[in-house]
Amino acid sequence: MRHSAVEFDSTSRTIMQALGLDLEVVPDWTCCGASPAHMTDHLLAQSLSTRNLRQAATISEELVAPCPACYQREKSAEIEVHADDHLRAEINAIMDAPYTGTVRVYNLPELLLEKVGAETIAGLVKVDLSQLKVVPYYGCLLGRPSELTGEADNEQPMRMDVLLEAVGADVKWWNFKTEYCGASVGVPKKIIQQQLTRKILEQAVAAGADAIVTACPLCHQNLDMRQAQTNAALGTSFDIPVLYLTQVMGLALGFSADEMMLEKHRVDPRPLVKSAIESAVALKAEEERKAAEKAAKAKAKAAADAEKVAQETAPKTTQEATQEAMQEATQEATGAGAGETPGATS
Amino acid sequence: MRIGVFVCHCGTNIAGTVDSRGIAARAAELKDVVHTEDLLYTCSEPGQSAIQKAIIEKGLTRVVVAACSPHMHEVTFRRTVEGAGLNPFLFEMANIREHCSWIHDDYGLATEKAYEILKMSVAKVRQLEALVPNEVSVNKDVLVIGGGVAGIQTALDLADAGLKVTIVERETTIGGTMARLDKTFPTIDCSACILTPRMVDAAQHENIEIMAYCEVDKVQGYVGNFTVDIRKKAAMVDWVKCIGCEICMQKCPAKAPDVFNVGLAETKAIYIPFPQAVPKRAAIQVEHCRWFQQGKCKVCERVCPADAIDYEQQDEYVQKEFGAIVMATGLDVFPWEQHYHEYGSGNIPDVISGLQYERMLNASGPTSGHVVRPSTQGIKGQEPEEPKTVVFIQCVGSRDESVGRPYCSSVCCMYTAKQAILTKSHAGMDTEVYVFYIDIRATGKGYEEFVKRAQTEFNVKYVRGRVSKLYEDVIDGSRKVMVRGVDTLLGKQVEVAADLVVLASGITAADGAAQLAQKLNISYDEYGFFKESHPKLRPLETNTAGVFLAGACQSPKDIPTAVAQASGTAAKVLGLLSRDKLKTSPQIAIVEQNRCVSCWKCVEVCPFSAPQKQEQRDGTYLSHIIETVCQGCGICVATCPVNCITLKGFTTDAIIDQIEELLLA
Repeated sequence: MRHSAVEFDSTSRTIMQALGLDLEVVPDWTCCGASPAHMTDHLLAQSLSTRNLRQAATISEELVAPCPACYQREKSAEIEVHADDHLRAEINAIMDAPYTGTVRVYNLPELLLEKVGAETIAGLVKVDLSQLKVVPYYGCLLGRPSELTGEADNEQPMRMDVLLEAVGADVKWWNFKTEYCGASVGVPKKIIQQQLTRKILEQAVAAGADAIVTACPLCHQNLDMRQAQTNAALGTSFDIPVLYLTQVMGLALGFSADEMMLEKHRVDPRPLVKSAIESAVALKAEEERKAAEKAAKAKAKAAADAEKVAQETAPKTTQEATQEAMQEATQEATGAGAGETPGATS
Repeated sequence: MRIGVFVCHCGTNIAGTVDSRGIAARAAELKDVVHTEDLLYTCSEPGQSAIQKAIIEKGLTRVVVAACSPHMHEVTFRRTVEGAGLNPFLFEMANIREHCSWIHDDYGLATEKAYEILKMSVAKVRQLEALVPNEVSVNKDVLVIGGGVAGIQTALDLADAGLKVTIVERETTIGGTMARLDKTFPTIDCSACILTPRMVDAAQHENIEIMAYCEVDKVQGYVGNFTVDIRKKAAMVDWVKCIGCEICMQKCPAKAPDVFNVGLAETKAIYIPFPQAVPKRAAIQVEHCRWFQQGKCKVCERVCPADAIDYEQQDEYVQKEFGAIVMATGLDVFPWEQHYHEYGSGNIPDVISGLQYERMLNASGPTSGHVVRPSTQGIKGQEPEEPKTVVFIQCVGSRDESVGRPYCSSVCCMYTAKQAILTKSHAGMDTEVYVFYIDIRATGKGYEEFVKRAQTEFNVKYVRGRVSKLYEDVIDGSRKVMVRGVDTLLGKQVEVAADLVVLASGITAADGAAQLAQKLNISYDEYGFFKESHPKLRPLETNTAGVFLAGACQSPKDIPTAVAQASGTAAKVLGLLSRDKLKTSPQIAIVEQNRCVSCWKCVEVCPFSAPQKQEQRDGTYLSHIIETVCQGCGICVATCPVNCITLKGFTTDAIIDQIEELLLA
């Protein structure tokens, strides 16, 4: 993340800090071995991940892995090692020092929802993103399998949806949240990856989205960096920006396009973001102007009505007052109504 | 005391793992045992004769049979010993099959365990006393809960036999699921044409009372004497005055979702579900009514020619007595939108359920029987489009453990074949029709032939495989539902661009079935289907005496099966109610009142309200258990803090003797 997805790395840190989460990098972490390790040897894979849990345990009980692949491996180790003492012993025998902890692993959306909460985040929104139409793209590993990730459904994960709605973006429904983007076949069989990527881009556009939001560096690379390649190979003309979840959240929280490193993407999202924010501001101003106009009209009408009423009722009031005055006068004359006389009425 | 012990081989069921002959011989050493014998099949005629012969010749006063579970044959052997002049409650059964031979494989250890079980039974039988059943009178009226085709069939059969029947139906009309179907397989005859006359028969039968828009609130009592509280739901319409003219429905300005048409159309806040409704009476859906929601309107009141509208109507409760209850609560369609997100979660308009399609095919349905794409409906200046390619997906909510439904819904293969054929006849033979299936289950009479007709005569293309995803796409300028699946026979992925997709949504128990089961104290499975007393030998009865099952409330069923079962159930009810008196089990709890401390714990725990506070001569109260109400469950016995309640036939002394026999002897 520090190199190929530096904007995800940087913006993740920025918004976590802004949301009051104390972040520290695991000391002496190692590669979790994603793909090569767990496709070769289960014990090796779980050992590599458990070693990271052990390292994390030296500073915290909670570990967040923004990269979904890392998250999957670490979470898998957490679940298996914590439930299986025999496996833990086996791994501990391999490692130079044993892991005895109970570190809980989070993915990024999960951490934000559980530690900060959608309501709190919604309360911190400074920039109106209601004109930014997005579809969340979870890819293969962020939501599935639900037994591991804790999402309610394999096909319709919801955590990014909830966060994007919390920061006020216009989230569109689609059925391609977990569709395979083809990233891992991009090298050996590019055309398959391009066809798969096209399908996702097509569906995002059909769903009415102006941007795709993801929280996975590999998905991002495929949908953004390879978009032009896909266009060239398949004769399509997609021009849809792909943003990181953290970038959208950061924009809503008031960070600038520069701070959110929007210039890093191949499909430049800045014109879209700029126009979405500006049109939201314009819309709001228009609404306010209309509301003010309406209020002014109502006020004018009320004033006119009041004047009308005053004119209609004024003579009557005078008449009544005269009558009252006459009554009082009569009372006084008869000696029955002693005391204060009401002030002069006119 | 002269005890006889009989040990069963049950072929090799027991003798395969237990030395039946050996333990019979060893039992001769036990105190009071004067006769032992091992028998190949004790429940057979020779086996039972052997027991009777021994009772008479050896003068046995107690009998123990070591064989299968008492659930299986206790009643059988009680009759056997009674036939030889012994009181049936001086008999005890040792379960050495389900509790021993079937679950162990070590011959020596299993034999030892079987002998211990037998010893304990001998210890218990010594403590038994002769018991005599009580008799109670029987109410001959029957309650049928649910007015679908099964409930109607049971009610008509019982009413024809002369019994008074009350049908309680929670909707405003009887008819159930069948009333919503268009045609029925495998004969393609009109569902309404065969059902609605039966509905009218039920309504006009002198022995049947239909209580529509009512629910069972509370059930008390026991077989032959149930007391049932029924809630009459407020329809906001006086049904005595209402004439079913539908004028209110035509004039009502408030729209409401049409549940009868499964959301494919809109109805009004005041509604009659369909033209052939029985009873044909209007009801107001309060949550959609302008008067109830906004405090103005009252159009229905103004237009009603019968002056039947009553906005002040409240729920009413009535109490009725019945001798037997038939559960016929039917089914609901699996809510696929909540579980199949890969099929669009209900967000793709041209993806509909089988029941919705049924309404679409129906001439009195929302599209007057025209097959159309829902996405093209209701657009101004445009006729709804007829689909050219229709895809059916089977097993949606059936045979799918990932959505918690491992069972087969049993009707979907057939109704899909029917709908596929009807598609061709409604939308034209040139319509492309595909069916994605796992297996075809067509086991009924004429069913396999029917599916074959769909495939050959109507050229419906059957593809064996699951569909993994549905999504909308634009192909050559027109909007399609893309069906992405696999053809496992070709071993290839397939994709079909469809205009309409129909999901063969499976069957679930009716909403609220489990809660109703709790009110009646009957068992239900994890899906809410009611459990029969025995899957093979007592499929129509529940474990609660006097409560019977009819139709799909027990398990998914098609119409012929539901009707056949409903008539079978009627025969069972008639069998029960043909008697004027019922014998009740004498194995019930009694209170030793001189030790009762009036703590009323027994009153609190009893699920049947058998213990009562009985006033004594000195004005104090002591617990007293009503014999005819007690079911002998023993909860009060275990609860009583001073041990003053005894369960006849299951005394504490006998249980202690059993334990001592096991641990000390």
